[in-house]
Amino acid sequence: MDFDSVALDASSMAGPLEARLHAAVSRGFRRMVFAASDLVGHPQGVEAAVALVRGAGVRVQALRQLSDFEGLEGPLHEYKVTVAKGLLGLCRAIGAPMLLVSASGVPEAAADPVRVARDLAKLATLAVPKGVDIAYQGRPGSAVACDVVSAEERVNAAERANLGLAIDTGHLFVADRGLDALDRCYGDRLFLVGLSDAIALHPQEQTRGERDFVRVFPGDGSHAESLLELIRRLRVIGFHGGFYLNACNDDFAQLPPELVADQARESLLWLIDQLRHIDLPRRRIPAAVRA
Amino acid sequence: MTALDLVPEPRNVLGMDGVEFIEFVTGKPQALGGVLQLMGFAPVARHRSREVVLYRQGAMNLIVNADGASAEPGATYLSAVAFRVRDAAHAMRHSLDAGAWEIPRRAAAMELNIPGILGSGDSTIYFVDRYKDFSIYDVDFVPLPGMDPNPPAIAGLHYFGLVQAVGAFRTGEWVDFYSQLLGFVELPPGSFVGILPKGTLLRSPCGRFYVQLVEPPEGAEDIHWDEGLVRIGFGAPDVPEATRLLRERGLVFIDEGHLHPGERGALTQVYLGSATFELVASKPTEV
Repeated sequence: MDFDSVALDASSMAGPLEARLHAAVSRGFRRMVFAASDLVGHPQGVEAAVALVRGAGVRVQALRQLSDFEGLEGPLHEYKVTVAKGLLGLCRAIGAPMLLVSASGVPEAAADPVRVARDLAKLATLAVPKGVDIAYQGRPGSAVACDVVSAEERVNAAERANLGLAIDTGHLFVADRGLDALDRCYGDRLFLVGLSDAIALHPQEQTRGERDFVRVFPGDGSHAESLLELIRRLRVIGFHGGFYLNACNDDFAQLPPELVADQARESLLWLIDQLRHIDLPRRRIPAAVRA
Repeated sequence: MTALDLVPEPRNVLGMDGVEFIEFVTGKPQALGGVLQLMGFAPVARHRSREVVLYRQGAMNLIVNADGASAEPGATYLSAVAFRVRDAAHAMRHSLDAGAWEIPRRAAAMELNIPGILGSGDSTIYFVDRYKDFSIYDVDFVPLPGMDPNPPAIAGLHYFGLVQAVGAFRTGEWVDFYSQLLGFVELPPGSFVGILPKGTLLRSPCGRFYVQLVEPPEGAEDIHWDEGLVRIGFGAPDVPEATRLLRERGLVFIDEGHLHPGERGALTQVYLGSATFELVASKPTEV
């Protein structure tokens, strides 16, 4: 685990893309996760945003995110296929080898396992010629996949080589089953792990979603030891995917990106120190996505 | 029992029936045409409105597309393969339902009104169902005067397969792609023929065509390795005889290191910076 292999989620920082890129790169980060809105929201357009990222020498770990794709019928499904194609095109443009997909949360998404598996398989096939992997993440409250275990069941049912699981440790510790959720995971099906700690606002109860906790960088929250144990367990189950740091919260949204990047750097240095005796497997090398 | 006996019989949901044509895009059509003629192909027809020439030998059709709108300056690359199917419209529906990208027909390289989906490295996989009583060339192409429209194949050459470069660790994705969309079946290790037994071999559901997926070699993370179609494999019942005849025509085969033309196969030198051809020991399948 080092600055070459762990990405920083640009959503953790506020400000224009230029400022966030500069803040991250100047603190040593070489990989980043971007939201599609980071690119399309650039004042000079997507091409300028792509040139900016490439010019900064940053490798893109993943693009976020496609939501509410699976389980829909008819025109709704066709609409989401169009959205997925657009995001896969952006992945290709920016050189993102992975698209983060959040489990469907719309009421129309029937929890029909066969339909969901077929849709996820279709999404994975769409991604093949674009050189993109699909990292599927459960969403609290989703009728399709509300947690890590159900998300992995969906992934396994779809059975595609470029379809895997994404884990958000913030959710895992506050709104999911914690470390126990990992016990049923296959390491080679786990593509992406978002590392964030959390400060639960209702620690006595199992919370239901994003609004019930504050997401902070690893080491800054209530679950530091569990987070370290999670990474150790990832090694045991043969995880060879990618990590990224994520601390998107209201506090960081009103702070200069340099300050947040400093905090991210300190967090990663803490992880490196805590895990210095852990030999994490070399991460899977994604396909080189053409410029 | 061999390993091949354990491979399940492929489900030919598209009614695939071999290859109708393979297409090169090139900025050097004359030079490529010269190489193809060394390979035994002859130009037989020209597109009515575009700089596209149909070459043929035996049952093999090969398109050389030098249309200005589609050719990168000077580049020569494999841009499409067209599979014969029972019903092209059905094949498209099946593919789109399973996650293929449709290639807009008007923007397609040849501008033939045939459906196609996105393949590797921006190449196109076409579906052709007019190949028995009528052909796709009847309308769009004009025969070249004085040329035999059906030149015989040299030494029984026939399309055997395509070699496709895939990114590191991405063989599984492409196996899924070909099997789910087109019904190809992955063959077990050891099923290889030819002199370059690398990667993973897939067989078409009709049994007449193969795709060989090749990842970058280990320890070569820094080399530039684009995904895409890289080489045509031609089947030859008698490779040494085919090699001899093609050498007489002026084709140059690599004969160094571990690459020696032999009974299993042969590999030509690189032409025009990117075009190579491989001979593979194979008998043509009767239509």
